[in-house]
Amino acid sequence: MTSKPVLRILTGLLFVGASFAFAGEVSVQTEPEPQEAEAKAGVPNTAELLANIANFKTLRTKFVQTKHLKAFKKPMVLNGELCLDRPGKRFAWHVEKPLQYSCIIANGKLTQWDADSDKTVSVPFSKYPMLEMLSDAMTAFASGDVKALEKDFEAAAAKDGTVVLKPRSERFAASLITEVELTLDESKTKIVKVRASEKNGDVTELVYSDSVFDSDIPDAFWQAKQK
Amino acid sequence: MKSLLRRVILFGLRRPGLAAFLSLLALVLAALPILAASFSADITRMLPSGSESERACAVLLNSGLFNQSAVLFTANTEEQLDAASSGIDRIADEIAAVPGVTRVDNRFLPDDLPATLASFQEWIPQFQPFSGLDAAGIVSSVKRKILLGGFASLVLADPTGFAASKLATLEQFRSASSFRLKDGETAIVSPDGLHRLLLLETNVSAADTAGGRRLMDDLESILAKHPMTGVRADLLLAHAHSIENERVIKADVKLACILSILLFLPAILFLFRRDLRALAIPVFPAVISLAAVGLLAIPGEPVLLFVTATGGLVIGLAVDYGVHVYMTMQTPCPVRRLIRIAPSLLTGAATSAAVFLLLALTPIPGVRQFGVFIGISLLASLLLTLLLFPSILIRTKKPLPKPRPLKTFSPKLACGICFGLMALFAILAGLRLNVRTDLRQFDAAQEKLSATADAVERLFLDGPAQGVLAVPGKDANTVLMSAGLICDTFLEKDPEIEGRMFSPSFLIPPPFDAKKSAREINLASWRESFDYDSFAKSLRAAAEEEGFEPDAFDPFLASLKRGLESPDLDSYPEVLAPVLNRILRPAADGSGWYAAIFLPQSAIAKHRPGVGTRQPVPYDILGAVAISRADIPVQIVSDMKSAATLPVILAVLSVFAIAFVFFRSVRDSLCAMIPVAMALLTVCAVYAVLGKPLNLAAEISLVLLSGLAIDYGVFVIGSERSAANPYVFRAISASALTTAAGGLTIAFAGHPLLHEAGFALIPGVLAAWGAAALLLPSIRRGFANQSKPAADKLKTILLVLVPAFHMFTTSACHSLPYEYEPIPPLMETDWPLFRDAVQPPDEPMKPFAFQGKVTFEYKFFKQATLCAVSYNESGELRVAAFSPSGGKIFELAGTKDALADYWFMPIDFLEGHEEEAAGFILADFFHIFGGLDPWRGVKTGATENVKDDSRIVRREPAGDDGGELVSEFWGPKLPVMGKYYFKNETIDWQSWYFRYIVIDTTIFPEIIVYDNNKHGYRLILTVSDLFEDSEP
Repeated sequence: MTSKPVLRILTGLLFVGASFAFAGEVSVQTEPEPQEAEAKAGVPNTAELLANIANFKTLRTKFVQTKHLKAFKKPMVLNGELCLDRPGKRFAWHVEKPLQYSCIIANGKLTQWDADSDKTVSVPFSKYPMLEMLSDAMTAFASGDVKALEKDFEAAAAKDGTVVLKPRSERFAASLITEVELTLDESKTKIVKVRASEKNGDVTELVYSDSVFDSDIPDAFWQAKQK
Repeated sequence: MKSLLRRVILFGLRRPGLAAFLSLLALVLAALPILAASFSADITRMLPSGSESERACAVLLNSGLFNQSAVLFTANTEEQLDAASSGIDRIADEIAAVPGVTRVDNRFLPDDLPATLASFQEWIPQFQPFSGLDAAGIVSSVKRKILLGGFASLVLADPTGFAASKLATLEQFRSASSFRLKDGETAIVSPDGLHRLLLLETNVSAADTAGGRRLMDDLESILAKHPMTGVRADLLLAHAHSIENERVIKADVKLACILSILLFLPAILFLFRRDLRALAIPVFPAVISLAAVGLLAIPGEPVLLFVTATGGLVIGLAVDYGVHVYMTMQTPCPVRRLIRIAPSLLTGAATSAAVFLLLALTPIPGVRQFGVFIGISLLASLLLTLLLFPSILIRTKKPLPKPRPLKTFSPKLACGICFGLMALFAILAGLRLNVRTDLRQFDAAQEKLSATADAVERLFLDGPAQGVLAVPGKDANTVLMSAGLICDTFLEKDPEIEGRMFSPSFLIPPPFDAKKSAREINLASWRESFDYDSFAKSLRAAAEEEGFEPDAFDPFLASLKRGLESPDLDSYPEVLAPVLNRILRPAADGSGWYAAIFLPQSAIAKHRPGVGTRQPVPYDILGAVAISRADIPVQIVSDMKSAATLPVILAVLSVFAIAFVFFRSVRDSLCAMIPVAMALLTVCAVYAVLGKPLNLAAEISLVLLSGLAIDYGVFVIGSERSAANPYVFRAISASALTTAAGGLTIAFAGHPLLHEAGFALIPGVLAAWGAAALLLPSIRRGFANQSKPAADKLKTILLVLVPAFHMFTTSACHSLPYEYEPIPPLMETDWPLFRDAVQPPDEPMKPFAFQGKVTFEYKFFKQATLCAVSYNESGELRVAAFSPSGGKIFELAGTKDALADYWFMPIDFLEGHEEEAAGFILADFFHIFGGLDPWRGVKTGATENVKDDSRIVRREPAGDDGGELVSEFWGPKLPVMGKYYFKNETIDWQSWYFRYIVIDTTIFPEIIVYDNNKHGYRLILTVSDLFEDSEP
């Protein structure tokens, strides 16, 4: 391999990799949901459950993302804070450990920065329309807005009140993900944990803590570059 | 301007006596402030004003919180140290009596603990508000503790538990500051039992060189008086840096003076055919530079010694004017000719002076002073030379040899040589030039003194060094109040740091307001509400009732009474004093007080005040400054990077602007810039070829060269345009020779700053001379004869600027983002050890596993990722990489010889190249992590040698393609610091290891920079978690 293709590959990999792993799940198609079986089994009604969650405008929460890799014993842990502003269509993902990184989706562009390279990269949606769909998907996953994902996932409520999303077999997501499990709080209205099992055996858990809903989010959270 | 110069020259010729008298008067007046001037060798004056690093260094010097004053005793065996104990105690007593020493701490804990605990009780009324004392409760608590196995003497000495609680808080200081001592020792002895420390406190400022020298002499004489068998004593004084720097610079000034005389006088006599009148040429700039030192002292700021040591440079630069005047005065109609060339001379001097005076715009005080010193000296030297020198020369005229015209040859050939050389130098510089902006390299004392300081840190600190917040205030109360507030805010934002933070406010109650201390308020509350007699009676009765002797608590009562009746509000309890006196203390300049808050460096970074921080602790509002030993060098590098580039850019722009104003022609101005470009590129190429990083001193020389080389360009182009000076070749040759001599006067200096400046100057001057004297006339004539001037201008611009741009951009890409710590010198005993170590046969790498970060750099593209890497016993390396958002990018596994497995996230353009990319990444990781250990994996045929007395270099055949792997080790006991893979005389890849994680016997690189030159990209790896087994 000559140097040019190699560099193109590496550069492309890193750029695409810097986006979220949820990228593949975005597509368009709707199918009806079966609900009768749920009622028979005594589990919460999925439609009712889904109707009540993600009814908020803004969210600011700390998160711990734990990635269990099939081939590695120790999980990789990321700590940080995420912010969602649904009316403003803004999303902020700030990682504090093990490296300082921020990804802001707002004002029709994706901006990312990390402390190690100290580079801020901005990509407008107009140039890469895929990013807008990516933004919608990330917002939906992070907020537990299952309704927005029903095109690609089939949702079912379990007895313990968790919501399990299984990718529809014909969708691209099915080639990567086995299932996504959303854990709700006691009121069954707020999401506290997302657990995604991947086809290759890896499992990713995203646990929220200190969540604050519908409060003003300071401007500093919408800036990619952190001091 | 022309008429002014004419008047100056004619006045000097018509009234030489008056001109000499007036000049002398002006020089004496200008030099007078020297008598009242203060001189400094403070290296922090080279930091940008107002920068974070400057503030941090100012606090470091002024607060006294970081004065590393101590005596370290080192023994070969514990028995030897024990035997020396009484001797060390005697030394401590004698040191305590030395003028300037305000305190000596010989012990961390007192020998008689019960007595200390008992005396501690007198501080109760000051340290806690009165809230009642229950006599019966105290007695029953004491009884319970004794029954549970407590030492009766200790429990009775501290019946309220007050002292115990303070000692527990003190223990928190040990863990928060990472300070560790040998268990069971009351003296300050390292855990290995071989080292003992005396901590000194002085009222002599670290910047007071004279006071520091006296102190050092006194301490050294005491240590010499008490030799101890098998025990060595090392002095660690905060003043040692300024003393050593001053010593080196003073020696350099002497050397520069001697070399100036030795070099300039013979050079001038040689150049001017033993005409003694020519000896006046260097005298003018010499006296001017002396007067200029006086001018520097006028603003009241200390004059930097290393600026004064550049006087030799002033002479080297300003003798040019004397040379020109001398040459002109030998021609027919000398005065008329002199008046004609005077504007040219003034333009040259003004250009150079402007370049230097522009340095006054930089934020670095040292560079500002240097710029002003040289700028003023150059202009004044020209005026003095024009005023006095013609009258010396005109009286006795000595014929000069026939003028030598400037040589010209084919313009095309001249252009080809000139731009060919420029392109070659630019490529050389672009390929290998590194930039090093860490100012510590200019601390002449750094290498000499850091070994002892590092030893103290290594011996007495456990775990990572903590960050410190230095909190200022007008008095102790204000400082304590601020420290308390800052700690509360930190704990509120980040409860996890509780137990890892320490502040003097944890030991002394912070006041509610700054007017009255909490100690006074507490005491008042006791005096108002506490009935001592009644309490004493109840306590004795309760003691008797519980079976104690009635007077069992009398020592406690006596102490308490003393605390109420004659409290000492100005000092601290004996046990707390060693710590409190160091972390709560008055500023060295008497401007207020400082308190030190210890907390993890990560907490400082996370909560640094600023717009972008999400959980800022606004400690800066209270004036607090973060001091972190790890951060300060990084901050210095960062501050200097932005501050040091500006002077070079300003210099190049200003010389062009002034040349343009003079010539009013873009073509001639650009031609005059050719010597400048050649000089700068040559210096960069020389540094690149020698593998030396370009530093601040070299950058100052680049500025200087810009000013100098433009002179050559202006003289030659001016001469080509007007043919006014037939001696221009001789003049610029003489000038180059004397300037190179000026460079030589400091190239041998012991101070790194001066040495580097002189070293960079010499090749630059020679290159500028070569370009100006040999190539420029032909190039200029070639361009002047061209019929399409517009196209020529463009050609000239492109030819000059493109190589320069290439050099600056590529060299910036290749500078290393980290710097090595100083390498300890190899001991004689190390070498045989290493020889033995490399003899074992080829062994596999040790298994390892880690998680960390990788920053990928390619040209101007940079991106950070996360990674997990493992290497197991069977030789399989496994790598997984993730985006910072957690998405997996790829995962692969394989041995050194074969790729076993790989997975990449689906990406269109990767299709068909996955295996190739995986093999490529796997090879990079094997390059990086193979051969880390000097004991393992050595190939047959490897050879080693010692480099710079500190590194061991091993060369061994590697790969199947006839390549050679060169590894440099930090001596035999630590692993590799750099690896280079050569193939066909080029470096295919290279890897640098800047820091290591040391856990017991495991040593693993923490920061690695890897360059794949074949494909032109760089990986920067930082290991954050190293795991014990080989599965991350």
